[in-house]
Formats: sequence, structure tokens, C-alpha cells
Amino acid sequence: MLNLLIRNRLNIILLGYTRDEPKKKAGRIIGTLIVIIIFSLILFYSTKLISLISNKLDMELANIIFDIALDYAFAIIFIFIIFTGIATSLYILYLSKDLELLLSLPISYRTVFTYKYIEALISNSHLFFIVILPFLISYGITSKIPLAYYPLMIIIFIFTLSIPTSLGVLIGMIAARYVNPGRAREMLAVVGGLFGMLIWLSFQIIPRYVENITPELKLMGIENIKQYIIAIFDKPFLRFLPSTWGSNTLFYIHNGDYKEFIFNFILITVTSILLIFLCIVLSQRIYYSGWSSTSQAIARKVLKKGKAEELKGTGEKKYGFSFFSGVNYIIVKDFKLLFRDARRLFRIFMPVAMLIFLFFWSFSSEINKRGNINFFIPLEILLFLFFPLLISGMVNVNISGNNIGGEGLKFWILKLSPVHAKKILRTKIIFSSVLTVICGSIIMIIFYFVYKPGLSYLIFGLLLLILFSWGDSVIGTSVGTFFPVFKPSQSNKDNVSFIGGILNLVLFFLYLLFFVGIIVGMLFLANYFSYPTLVVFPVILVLELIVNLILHNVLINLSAYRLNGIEWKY
Amino acid sequence: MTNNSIAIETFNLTKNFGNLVAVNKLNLKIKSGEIFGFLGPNGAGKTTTIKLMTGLLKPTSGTVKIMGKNIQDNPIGAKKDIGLIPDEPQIYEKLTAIEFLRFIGNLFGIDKKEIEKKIKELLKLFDLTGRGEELIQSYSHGMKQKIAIAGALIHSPKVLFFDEPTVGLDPKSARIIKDILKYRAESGDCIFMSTHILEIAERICDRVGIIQNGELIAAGNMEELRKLSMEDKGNLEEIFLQLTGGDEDMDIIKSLS
Repeated sequence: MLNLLIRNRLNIILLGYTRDEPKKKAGRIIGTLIVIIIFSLILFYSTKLISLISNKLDMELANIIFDIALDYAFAIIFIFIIFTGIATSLYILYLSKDLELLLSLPISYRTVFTYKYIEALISNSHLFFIVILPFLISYGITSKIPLAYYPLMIIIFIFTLSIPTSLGVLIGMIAARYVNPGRAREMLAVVGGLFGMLIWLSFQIIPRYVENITPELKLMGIENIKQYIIAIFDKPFLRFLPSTWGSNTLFYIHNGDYKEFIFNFILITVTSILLIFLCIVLSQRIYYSGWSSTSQAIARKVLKKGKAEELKGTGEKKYGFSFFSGVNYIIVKDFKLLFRDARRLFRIFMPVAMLIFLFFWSFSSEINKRGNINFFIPLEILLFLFFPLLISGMVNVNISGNNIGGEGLKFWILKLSPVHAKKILRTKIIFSSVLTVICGSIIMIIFYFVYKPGLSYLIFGLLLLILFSWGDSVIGTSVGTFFPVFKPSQSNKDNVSFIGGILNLVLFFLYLLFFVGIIVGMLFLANYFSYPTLVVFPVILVLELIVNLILHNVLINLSAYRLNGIEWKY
Repeated sequence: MTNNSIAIETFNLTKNFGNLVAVNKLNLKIKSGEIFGFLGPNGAGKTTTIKLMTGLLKPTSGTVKIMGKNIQDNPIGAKKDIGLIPDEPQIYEKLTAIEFLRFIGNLFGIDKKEIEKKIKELLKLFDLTGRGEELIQSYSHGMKQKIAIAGALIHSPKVLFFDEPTVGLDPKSARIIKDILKYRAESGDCIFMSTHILEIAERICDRVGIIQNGELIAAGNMEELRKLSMEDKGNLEEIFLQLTGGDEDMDIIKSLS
């Protein structure tokens, strides 16, 4: 029966390639080709890289690098799947709409939940099959190890991916026992995100901490690269992460250390199978046997009803006027929807958190050494201005591109309303600009304390950020209007087509280049004509404002035309 | 109770999806105060017609006028008079019912005090008074449908489009819907309703239109339809089957049993 369910799912996928609308079919074929190209490119270049490391470096050093690279790659997967997996797993194993249909069929419940578990596992990890698997294949190709490595590697990889998925499912299911499942999804996405961030932080902070308290390690490192690498990257806590058992299994089979290989293989296999079994049993009990505490839901309803009754006697504020009331109802609605959807929030803001840490990881220790570099203004100041724009722009791409498609199947409400398309677009632009400015301001303030550029630069930077967010929102919203994808759920999916997504990213980079180009160009001119830098700032702001006004007027008119033309076929 | 003003008027309304002609040269005039039932087999073009009339789809050719306003030329003006209840209640599930209704009220530019008054009345009408502060995602399908209906009624539209109005509703709510339809028609509003429940159509509609393969094959009151189908005393179900050829399937049904 499991076989039948899987075959049915594969058939659905296949039909998407053969029987769907021509446009969607073409999209799928192009997408698949791109995946194949990415896979092949990674395979090709990783083979080259691994060969280079193996041939050029000392054997022991190469081995250390491979060991650490595997540990880190697997650890990153582990963290990623944990903090994305909780919500996805809960959604697939508890809230998905086909569960009721499947459970009504003459199939054992265990089969249904095993099938759903496989679905959760694939949904959580398919990306890594595209990105990491070619590395593992090239790792085998370069060392010419026996063919048995490849099937074994795939099995180990699946086991490794199953552990964080199972942990996600278990945490999700246990929470569903106590929390209203509809809310548990959001709550757990927050918990998962925080957990993931905590592990990420430990990766960032611990090496630096080690580096600071034991300066001799650094000295030793310069003399001995191997010890330096080990001191920086080989963290004791990594050994306790199940992902490391997986990476060790591959590393030891590769190096012919079969004793260690068997030990790690047993460890990961047993853990993985036990967790899978536990997940299937638990999800079955939670869903079917009603283990989920319904009294919780009842209690919540009573509480809400009580609150509603209480509000009845309070006159004007009966329905709780919000802070935003009277500003703009579409923006208010968008903010409410965003802040009630933790998955969407994380999707938007997690890259920011990671990019900031990446920045500090790569640059923070080097700041003092760059004091003398001057690029019309000191490099630190340019970085202070540029990085927040870059990071907030990356966030904006995700928000503004989804402004129209993100309405999902509810778009008919706006389409039917007597509100002018330009007004809808304007509110969407304001919405994404405000979010981007908030996000960018936080980054800018953090960078302010790192670089200490002075208050005037902070004000200048914030004004630039507002202008940039506006311009970028106009571009993103327009692209999103031309290439929207309307899906039932708006929280965890791209609501812009593949081509739209690429175009949005390209236009963002072009706009960023143009925006920064104006700043640098004006600073160059100021330098050339010996004007004080601060005098040029208002000129830069006015120029950027003019560019934005032109962009806004041109693009909003085109987008309004397109928005009016969108047909609602859903 | 009908008056002479035309609420919905279509002229040669046509919609093609590639080679498929979903709606073919549809000509209709529906007066204010009239309840018009729109019937047809699955895939006949009922929902497409509603989407064309409400401006959700762009006609391949032909025009739609709502209260005399062409929806293509003056969409904002025409939409102010429209209320739509789709067959599937696709509404913002992460808003509470009150927030959703307030949002719709604001979209249609209703006065704030009026919105709050209407929300209170509509929640009471649909037996949702204590549940208005809950997120819509926690509602059952029927409750979501009620909120979608409340959303369509909040701005008191002059033309109401119902796509399968009673699907998923409990008997009490279905009755309320029927009463609302009658009451609004009596007040002079036009109701355009697509349904599969022929008893409802027969009981409450002033006129019925039957569409098949995108073409209007019959339109009129019960008497006129009987004449068209040559069913002297038949009910709407018999007339419908006679006109759409449903009787021909009887042999297959017998062979299955």
C-alpha cells in the first residue's frame, strides 16, 4: 500500500510535466533543467576542487580539511532542517488536507503516517540532495574508492537527513499535544528559529571566544596550519551533533578506517530508525487516537468568548481599535497577516540574521586594519552605508516581490474591491518599504556601534536607507505584479514566478549599483573639486529622490495597467 | 419586487480560454429587485459568467454593465455596487472575523461607525457574536462561508452575485440566506445566483437562465421555461434535464445498478 501511495504521488509529479497547462509545463521543465545544470556544475567544480586539495596539499592536511568540511556541511543541514522542519513536519503530518482522505481509505494508519513521514522528509531535505549530494559523489570519484561507497553514501545521507526531520516532527507533535495545532505551527516556527539561531550563534561566538582567550593558538596556527585549522574549526560540541556521526561515517569509509566507520554507521542508523519509528507512532496517536488535548482548544475558546463578552460593555472600543486604525486598511491588514504568520516572518528575517553574523565572522576582526584605506571617504563609512542597504535590499526582494502574489487565493477580494490599482500598489510599496526600513535601521544601528562613523553619517545613512527601500520596493512590487503566482498558502512559498524571482534579484543588484554609484560618483566629484563631503550629502539625497520619483511614476503606471489586466481564473 | 431599471446587462459577452469557448455571446438583462437563477451542468460556464460580470475576468468580446456602468470602462464605479459570494470561501484566515469585515468595510469606503454597526448586526445574524474575535482559520467551512457572505453584504451592494450560496451551510444558515435573498430583492437589489439546488431556484427565483457549453439555452420564468421545454406541468428539475439532455443518461444509470 505504501508503494501504491508513493507511486500515486510520483504519478502526480509526472502528470505535472505531461498534462498541465503549457505555461506551467514549460516552467517545470525549465526548473528541472536548471536543477540538473546546478547539480552538474557543483559536481564538476567540487571534483576539481577536491582533486586540487588532494593533489596540491599535504595528505594529512587535505584529510583535515575534508573532515571539517563534511562536519560543517552536515551540521549546517542539521540546523537548517531543525528550524525549518518543525513547521513543515507539523503541517504535513497533522494539518495537511489529504490526511482525512487517506485515513478514510482501507489502508493501515501506520502506512499512511509512514507515507506522510517520507513526504515530510523529502519536503525538508530535497534541496540538500541537489546541493550536497554532488559534493559527496565527487568526494568518492576523486579518491576512486569502491562502488559500494555510492549506495552506502546515499543511505547514510538519508539517515542523516532523517534525524533532524524526526526531531522536528517529535517536537512538533509533542507541542500539538498541548497547544492548539493551528497555532502550534506558528509558535514552533518561532521556537525552531530561535533554536537554530542559538546553534548558529554558538558557531559564531565560540571560535572567536577561543581565539581571544588563547592568543597562543593563533601564534601556533601561523607556524602550523593544521593545528590552526583544528583550533579554529574542530569544536568538541560538533561530535555530539548526530550530523557529525553521518559525516564521520563517510569520512572513515573514505579513509578505510572500518572500525570507526562501523561505530558511526551503527550510531546513525539506530538513532535514525528509532526516531522514525517514534515519529510514526506518535503522529498516528496524536492525529488518529485523539491524543491531542482537545480540552486546550476548548479552554482557549472559552477564554476568547469570555474576552468578547467582557468587551461588549466597553462602548466604542468594543472591537479593539488598533494603533494602525485609520492609517491604511490594506497596510494594517498586511502587517497583521505578516505578524501572525511566523513561518513567513522567519522566511523574511532569518537571512538578515545570518547575513549579519556572516559579516561579523568575515570582517569584524579586520576592521582596525582597514583604517588607512580611503575611497573618497573612509572605507568603514562606505561599508557602514553599503552593507545595511545590501542586507535590507535582500530582505526587500523577498517582501516586495511577493506583495501581489502573496495575497494568494484571496486576491479576488482586492480585485473585486472598488479601490484603484495604483492605490493598492502604493499601499503595498509602503508596506514593504516600512518593513525594509525597520530591518535596515536595526542593521545600520548595529553597524554604527561597530564602525562609529559619527551622528551625521548615521542620519545620512538612514535617509539613504529610506530612499533605497522605497525605490527597491517599487521595483520588487512591479516585478511581483508582472509575474505573480497565486497559491493557497502564502507563508512558505514564493509568490512570484521563477523568471520573476530572477528578474527581481537582477534588478535589485542593478538598482543597488546605480544607487551606490550615485553616492560614489558624487563623492568623487566632491573630492575632485575639493568640496567638503558633508556638503555633497544633500545633493546625493536629492539625486536619489529624483531617480526614485521617476522609477515610482513609470513603474507604478505600468504595474497598475498590469494589475487591472490580471484575470482571476482560480 | 422588480422595478424598471436594469441592474445587470450583458451584450454578446464572450470568453475564450485558448480554443475553449467558456461563454459564448451571452445576452442578458436583469432588473433591479429581481432574483435571477443561473443554472447549468458542471463546466457549463456559470462561474466564468459570474467572474466576467464582476470584473474578475476580462471578456474576450462583449460588454457587462452593472447599474448602467460598464465594468471594463468604469471598474471602480461598477464594483461599488457589487457583492460577491464565491463558492469557496477564500478569505484571510489569519484575520479575525471582525478584522476581516472591518477590512472589507474600509475597502468599500463605509463610514467607521457604520462598519461597527454592520459587523455587530451581521455577526448576530449568522450566530457568530461570541466568535468574532477568533481567527478565521479556527472556523469550520460553514462558518467561513458565513463570514464570506457577511463580507459581501457589509456595504449593502445593489447587485449581489452568489455562486452556490448554500453550499456547506447548516439548515438554519441556508434559510437565513434564502430570507436575505428575498428581503434584498424586495428592497430593490438585484440577485444573480448560480446554483445546483433546483428546488431553491424554483422556489425563490423570479427568472431562471440555463447555460450549457457556454451558451444560454433558455431564460425566463417558470411558465416560459415550461413552454420552451414542452413540459406542461414539470418542475424545474424536469425542465432542466429536458433542456440540458440529462434524461439521456438514464440508460447508463440503469446499467450501473
